[in-house]
Amino acid sequence: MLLLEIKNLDKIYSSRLGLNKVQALDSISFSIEQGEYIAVMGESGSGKTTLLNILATIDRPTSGEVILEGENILGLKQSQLSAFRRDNLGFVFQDFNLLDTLSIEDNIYLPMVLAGESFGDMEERMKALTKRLGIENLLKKYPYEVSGGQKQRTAVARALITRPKLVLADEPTGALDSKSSEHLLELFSEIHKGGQTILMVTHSIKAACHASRVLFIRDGKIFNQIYRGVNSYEKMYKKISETLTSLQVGGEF
Amino acid sequence: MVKKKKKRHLLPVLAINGILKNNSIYGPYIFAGAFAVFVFFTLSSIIVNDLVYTLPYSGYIKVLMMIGLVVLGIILVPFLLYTNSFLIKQRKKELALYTILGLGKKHISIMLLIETLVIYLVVLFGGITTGLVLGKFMFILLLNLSGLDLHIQFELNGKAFLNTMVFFLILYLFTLIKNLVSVYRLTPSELMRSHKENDREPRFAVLRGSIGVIVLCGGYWIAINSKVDGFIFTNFFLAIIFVIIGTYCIFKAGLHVLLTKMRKNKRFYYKAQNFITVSGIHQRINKSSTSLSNMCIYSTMIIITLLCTVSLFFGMTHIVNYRYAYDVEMIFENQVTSSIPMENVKQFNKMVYIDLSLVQEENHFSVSEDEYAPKEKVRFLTQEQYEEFGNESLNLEDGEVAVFTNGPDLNFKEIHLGDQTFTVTEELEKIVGVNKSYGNVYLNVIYVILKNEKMVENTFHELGIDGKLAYKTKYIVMLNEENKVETIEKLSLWTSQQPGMLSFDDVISGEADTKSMAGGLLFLGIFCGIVFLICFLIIMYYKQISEGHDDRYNFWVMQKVGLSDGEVKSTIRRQIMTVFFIPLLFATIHTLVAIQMIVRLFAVIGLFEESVIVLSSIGVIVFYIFIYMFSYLKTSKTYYRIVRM
Repeated sequence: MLLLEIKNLDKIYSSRLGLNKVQALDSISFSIEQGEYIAVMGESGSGKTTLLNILATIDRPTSGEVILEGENILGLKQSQLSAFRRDNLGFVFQDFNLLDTLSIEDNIYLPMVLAGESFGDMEERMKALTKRLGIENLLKKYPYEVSGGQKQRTAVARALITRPKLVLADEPTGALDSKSSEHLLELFSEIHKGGQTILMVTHSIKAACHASRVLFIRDGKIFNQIYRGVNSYEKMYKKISETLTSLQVGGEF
Repeated sequence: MVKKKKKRHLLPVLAINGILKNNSIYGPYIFAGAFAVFVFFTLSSIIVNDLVYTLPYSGYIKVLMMIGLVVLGIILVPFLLYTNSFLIKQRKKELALYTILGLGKKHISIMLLIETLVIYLVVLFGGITTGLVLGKFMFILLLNLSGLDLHIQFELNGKAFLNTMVFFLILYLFTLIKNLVSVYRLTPSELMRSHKENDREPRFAVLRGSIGVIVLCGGYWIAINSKVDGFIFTNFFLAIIFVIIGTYCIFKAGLHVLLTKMRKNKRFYYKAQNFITVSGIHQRINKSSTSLSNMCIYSTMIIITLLCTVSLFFGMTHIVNYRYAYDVEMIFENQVTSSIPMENVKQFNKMVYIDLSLVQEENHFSVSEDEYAPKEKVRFLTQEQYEEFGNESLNLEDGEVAVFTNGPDLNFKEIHLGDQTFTVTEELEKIVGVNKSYGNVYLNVIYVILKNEKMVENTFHELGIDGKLAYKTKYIVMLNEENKVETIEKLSLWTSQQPGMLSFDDVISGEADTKSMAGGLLFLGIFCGIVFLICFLIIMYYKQISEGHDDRYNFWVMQKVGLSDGEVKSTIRRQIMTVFFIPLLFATIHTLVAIQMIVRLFAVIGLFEESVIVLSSIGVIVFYIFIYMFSYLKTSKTYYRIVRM
């Protein structure tokens, strides 16, 4: 089943007087199936963050369409956007973006509280989630009292508690050490196996290897894509690094 | 060599840039400083202007201006230290960056020194220039309010310059030392780390809160119960200290207990607006409670200053009217033999009496050798003397007295003078030439009217006072309005030439005296009120700024996770409203208690009309609520702007 369709997305940044124009996205089109785990790779400045921001409805494209389950989300009014984000999307950021004012538990509750859910529902979901994520003993602590990996797992719990249609992850392993990264990626795979659709922007080949499909972006265009399919981890790793190399030397496939 | 020269230029540039770049926070700081200098300089100029004391009725001015100067000095110290600590906190990151880029602590210290020096000079220059320009007007305002002769020049005096310069130099050196200590104590990594950790939960919150309540109640108790005697100012001071300490404790502990309770109530806590608000305030509970307490204390000071000023302004005529039931009063040791110049006189009365200071216990009066025992003034006169004074006749028998007081009714059935007991046949409503006020608790005189001179002699003998009775004679005169001043002058001259003259008092000089005192107080009230208000506004403004910076990240994250713009606004409003009324509420309660004490203090200077004070209080409180709301709304715009940047 098709979850998300992206059609001819253009994003042009121009300076105030319109003298300097930068094309961040150049007619990007692709679609995401329900339950897919997609990694988006590309160099800095390739446009992957712009793409993520547009999907997150934080930024708007110059032209094109983003269709989630048949509804064009670019048609939403400004006032509807936050509710839309809250109900349909879950976010995991590189620098966690947890609130130091809230305990781990309350950080996880945050999107549900904002959505006005009853406390009983929240508590039930939170208990199940935190057990799965292995942070059930940290609930009363504060973000500045736990490790990076634990912070990121809290952020994942926060992203998942609303049962979003799509989880958007922006370099989720970027601020973690290798052990925590590994742990987190396993967690993502597990969540994916549970049927969650995930789109992850990453620099890390290791991270991308876990995805079911890897999209490569260069100069605002989709350059190539690799399906995991039946490939082994090692093969996937090799394929991705080869693609990245050709991305850097500027070759074509 | 070249390198060194460069550095020497770099530091002042960095210092001045540091101020200019942060002008939105340094601006108010400098403005407040300059205004304080202006007031300080003006007051000092008035104090050192010797010409003022050549004016008649100017006795109060010097004392009042001195008090003003001391109060100003006391208030400025904590204010500058508080605002300064805010400033340095805001700039920690910048300073940390400098250390990382290679400036040593020594260089940073030099930079801070230059900065402080620049601020000091700007503040001094601004304040003194304003003082020079406006000083003359201020001086005229003071003379006008005090009803003094306007011909005196506002003199510039080197001493005023010097006083101001030295005082503020010490103040700013103080802030500099505090900054240097805090810079030396911190490492760059500590400096860099933005204040992310939550405030530690106040320990022993309940105990602390209870202590706060006890201390506050103690302060209130002192304020309500203290009597006007030699300890009144000590008591007043104690009450203030207790109330301040109590406020800080209660705010801190109370806020903590309240928020903890809110957090425990899950249904309440896990609602979007409460959730963010409660956790936000709880995170910075120390900072919040300190700034709220400060706002409360300054609000109380503003309200009380304004209240006293307004009461005095409207009460001035009451003071004069109560005291002067006559136009002229002359008191002599004995009866005057020469004839009194009677021209222009409308009414003339003579009273012969003896004053004693006696220790009073209920209706028992006795003589005490103890100099420090509180004593009441008791005035004895005979029935005949009473009637001669122009009152209706009484028919007293032996063992009977009539009593009167210009304060609240005595309600005695009998009265004991030493070992003797007298039946009180009547408590008189009035005596010619004396005004009665039920509010007069401290300046009251008890009149005891006995049957005849023999009774008086017997009574005095029983009290242990023998020898010739020291009668005094008082003449009170009512004059025609025409040529009143000249007549008074004539009478004054005449009185001074009589043997045995004790005192001369007249309504004109009384008015002038009262006006000069009240005018001086008004002048002080206005300026201290403005200084307090400026302090208050800046504390409020800085609170909004620092909370804005604290909350910005939180709101940014929440918007990412799905908090709409409208919800951000309503949450902010909720946050503001939650703590909005607390300082105002407490300030009002403090004021209501303080009114008790103010009423008593005003009674000392002869203002017994409680209604004036009560009405002024209501007016001032209502007025202040508007000012408070207005400034909160204005400064919260800054908060919005920072949060939504």
